[in-house]
Amino acid sequence: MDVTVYMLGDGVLCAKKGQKGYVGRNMKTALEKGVKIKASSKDLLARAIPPEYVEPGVEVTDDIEDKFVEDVMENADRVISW
Amino acid sequence: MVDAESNNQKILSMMLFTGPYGSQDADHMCRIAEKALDKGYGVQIFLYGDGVHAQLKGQAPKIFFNIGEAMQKLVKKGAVIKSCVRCSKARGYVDGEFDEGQDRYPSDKALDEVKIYSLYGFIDMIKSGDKLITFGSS
Repeated sequence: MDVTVYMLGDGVLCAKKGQKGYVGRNMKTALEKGVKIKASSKDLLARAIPPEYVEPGVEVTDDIEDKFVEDVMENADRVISW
Repeated sequence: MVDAESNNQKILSMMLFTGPYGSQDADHMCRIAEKALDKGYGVQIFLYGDGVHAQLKGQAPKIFFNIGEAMQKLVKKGAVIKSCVRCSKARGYVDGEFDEGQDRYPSDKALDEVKIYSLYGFIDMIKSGDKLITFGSS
């Protein structure tokens, strides 16, 4: 199953590099297993998280709403929102 | 509902559980909705719980993205926005019985662009939409 995670707003905080708790560990595992993770560049910057502070493997994405809508409407079989 | 049968248009249904300005949920929903409309998809939104506050007339945030104006713009671009009558009544929005002619419950406080409706309106949106996204939690 292909899985893509879109991080918007405070969700981008999960993409911070170097987390020691289970969120950081689970993110690394997810990336290793091929889950695509995209985080909003605008929301990262708003929270003072420049690209070099983002977990490697997470795609810092411009105009994420555009990519998200396209992916949801054209590619996704299911969507879960948190 | 959004009339898509005639042109095979895909429809994105969305539900908002949280009120505007306390969190970014309404902000994200409106931006995603506008993007979907610009890309040619149909958009239908149902406001639920504290989400019904997004329908309030006269919103004037000093620095935040104006959710009321955003919703008016979405409807102008073709979105259908309804809000839960029970949630709206609880929060003081509803002025009378269902108006068959207007296909909504009357409200002086709610934007004209938003139709206060029974929760069956949301069920219809789930059935008729191709995809469903929810914002916030009640």
